[in-house]
Amino acid sequence: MKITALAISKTDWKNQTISVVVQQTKDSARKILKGIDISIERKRFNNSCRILEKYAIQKGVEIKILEAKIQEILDKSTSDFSVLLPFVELDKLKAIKDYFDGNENKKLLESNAAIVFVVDEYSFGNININLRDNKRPEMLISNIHEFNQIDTNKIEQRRFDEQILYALTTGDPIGWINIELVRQHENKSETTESKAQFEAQKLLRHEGLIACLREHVYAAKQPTVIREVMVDKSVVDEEANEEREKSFGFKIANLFIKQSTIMKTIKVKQSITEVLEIIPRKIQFAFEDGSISDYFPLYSMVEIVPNENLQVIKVALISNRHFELDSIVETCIIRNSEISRLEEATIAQQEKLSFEKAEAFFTEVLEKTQGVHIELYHTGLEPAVIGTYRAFLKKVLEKNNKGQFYNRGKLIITPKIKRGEEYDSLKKWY
Amino acid sequence: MTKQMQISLIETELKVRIPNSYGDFLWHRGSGVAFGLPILGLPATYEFSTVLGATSLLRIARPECQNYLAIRIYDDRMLCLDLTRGNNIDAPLVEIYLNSTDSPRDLGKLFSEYIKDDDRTKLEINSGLQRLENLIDTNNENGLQYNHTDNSVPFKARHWRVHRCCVHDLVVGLTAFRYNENFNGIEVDTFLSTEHPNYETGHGTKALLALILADAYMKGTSMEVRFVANRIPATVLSVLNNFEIKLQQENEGVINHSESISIFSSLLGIQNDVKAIIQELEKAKELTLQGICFLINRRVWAIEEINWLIINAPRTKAVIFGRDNPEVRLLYSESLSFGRCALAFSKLKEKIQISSEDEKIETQISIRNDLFVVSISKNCFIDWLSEDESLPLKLGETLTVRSRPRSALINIVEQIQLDIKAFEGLEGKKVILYTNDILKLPDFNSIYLSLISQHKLNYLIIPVSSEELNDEVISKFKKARRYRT
Repeated sequence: MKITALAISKTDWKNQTISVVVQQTKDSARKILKGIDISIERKRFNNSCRILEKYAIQKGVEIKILEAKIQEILDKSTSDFSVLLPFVELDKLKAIKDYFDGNENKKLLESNAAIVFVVDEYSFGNININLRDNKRPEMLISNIHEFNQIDTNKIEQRRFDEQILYALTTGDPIGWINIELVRQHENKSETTESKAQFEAQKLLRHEGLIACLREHVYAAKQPTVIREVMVDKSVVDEEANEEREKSFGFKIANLFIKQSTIMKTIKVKQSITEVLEIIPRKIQFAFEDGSISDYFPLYSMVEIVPNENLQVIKVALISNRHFELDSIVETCIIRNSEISRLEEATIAQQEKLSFEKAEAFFTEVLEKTQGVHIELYHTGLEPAVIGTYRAFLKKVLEKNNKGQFYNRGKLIITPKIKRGEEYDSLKKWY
Repeated sequence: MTKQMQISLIETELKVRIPNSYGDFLWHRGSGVAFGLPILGLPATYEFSTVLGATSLLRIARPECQNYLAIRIYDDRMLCLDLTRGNNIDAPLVEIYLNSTDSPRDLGKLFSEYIKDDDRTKLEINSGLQRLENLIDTNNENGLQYNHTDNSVPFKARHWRVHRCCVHDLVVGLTAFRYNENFNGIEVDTFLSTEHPNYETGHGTKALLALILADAYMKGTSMEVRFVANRIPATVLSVLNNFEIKLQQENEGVINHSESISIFSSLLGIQNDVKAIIQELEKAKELTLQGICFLINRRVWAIEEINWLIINAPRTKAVIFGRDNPEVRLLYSESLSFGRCALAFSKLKEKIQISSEDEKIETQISIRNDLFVVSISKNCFIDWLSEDESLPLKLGETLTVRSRPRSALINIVEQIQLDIKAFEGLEGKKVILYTNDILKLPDFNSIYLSLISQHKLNYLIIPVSSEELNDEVISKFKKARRYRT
């Protein structure tokens, strides 16, 4: 990419129309980041940027900056991985001296307020916009190395389970279909062995999602580590005792009162078993539109006995989707209109919104009760399901200053899935 | 009048000897339908719906074609028995255009073969239709029925789904298929296809194949297709033969994953050099050939747009699959500009196609570096020059187009010099394509006209602004980003 930098004078930047446009750009960016009315805000952001660029082309003065410098400025500007404004305000550009030499710096700051960056259309330069997306390595950092063995007869669940294990071991997001596997399959000759291998590895849709994920939520045991440490040990000081026995005084004294043996402290190696805090195995979901979810922590805690005496509330995941639920549930976690408003958002953004709504919901019920057992009636929409259970895990994994999970045992979810006319309960999450 | 008397009357009136194959057809059926289209015959009257009337019409329109029997009229075309090359037993079929002086086009089939093929096809079609009916009945019994009132589609991928393909009010294909989880691919039960007389041979089969493969991609299965009767339909094999694709498991009725992708890309006409680039991008895990084919099939991008973008766009995946978001403005601007380029050319193509009042002008397009190379089927004019002038294009002449719908008019002299350089060493008509934003440049005439005319170039101005093109590109991005790469 090649970019032209256009400096805008202080007077022009303070122009009333432009001030409004600049503010609009920033506001829209902020709202997009927070997932508020993404569709509308993207339009606004796009329009404001367009106006700014046109204005800059008309009023701005091209400043010659080395590509490397522009690259540096842009890298600094992408501190948040998902938004990049097309301008920098010079008074907010920290350490401006790093980018321009003394004279340039002075000249630029004297009269200009901002630099607007405009793409040189159809020109190929060396500038790269690097969005931060270094997620995968983190997924494989964990101290859980053994995975639960799942015994399921249902073919879809078994395949999904294989998909989860694949994601856990490779760090690849769980997807609608794993394209890489298809590629591998394609490149192999059609031998019986390779076919069988492909059959075993091929991936399925998210059906049975929660039932399968539930099997990988709890680690079988708390991870431990055996360490060798040097500890103090008290031993008889042979040399000192021998020396003492030679003295006349000791012999007399020992006749009347038995003198204690002289001891000394030495350092010895000792193996101790240390219980470690669990570092969860994280997975991500690749949705149909190619967007990737945030981390979903699996193997994040060991199982406990659930508290059966908590107050039960019946909750639907999304409102307005199954009207027969209206007479059963007391409330809904997400409003259908909130999700629908995100029609232009990626599926990952829908998942994020569901996560935020569910987290707020769980926080509220935990504040107002001593603990609660939620019967969660599923209403479809995979990203909403994933986001909600991710929020549940975040809530129960919150720790106090002493490193204890203070919400564990206070929040239980029983997933309710529609089968035929009835709602069946799946295994509890607690 | 008996049938025999009518046949004799036709022979007497037309002064020909009807071959036995067509005579038997007249004797047994009188007239009929083959491959969904009429075969003219009795009665022996001079109406155009009879062989006597149609042949008389042919002789009036094409007096030199005396020894032909017209057995079908379709628009200005006639399907005829060529008695000059036939004998008493049978005659080959030819197609004759009434409004042209071209010699009759041989169809490579005798009348008896044509009728036999039709009979066999009818049997297959009847059995296929019966199967489709059974599948629809079973679905209905299970409460699975399309509801056109509220647009509800209750079918899941694993259910048998009956689809039809229509072209200009004619059904050209019927099929039923489903996702089969046992082999993670698409299982096809019935595959019936036919031809629309105004389109190229095999297009019905191609449309059905594209439908099935697009569904496989959309449902996230592998692209493997298996036919339930373990037999690949002859129409499919004929299409594959044209693409020079040989199936490894033809006898088992299986088109495997990689073969399907190859078929999909051939169906949609992806250039070979473009395929090679896509393969490289596949290795880098950027996108897949089937993903690209799917976008073309869904008409998100046209084939020439894809061909151009694959060769020219930086960050191909981001542009084609609309992965950039407006909030990362610089990337988004870049993607928009390349999307605009491809779209602007499509506008020019549409303009060329409709520039003749009487018929659509066919275009052949190839991509050479960042230039579109167009050849046309008929002379035409493009009135997109400034000041109401038109650019004449002649048949056989190539038009080389550099699409540059600029939005940010900066460094303009430098840019136009690059534009001019891109045409160096090229023959034929050369044009640079701009949007009407360029007219806003105060010194447009002095800069452009002098530079361009010196180099024997033309410029065309699309009567829309870059912003309007941007809106269209944005809507393409929105559609494309819904799909996997």
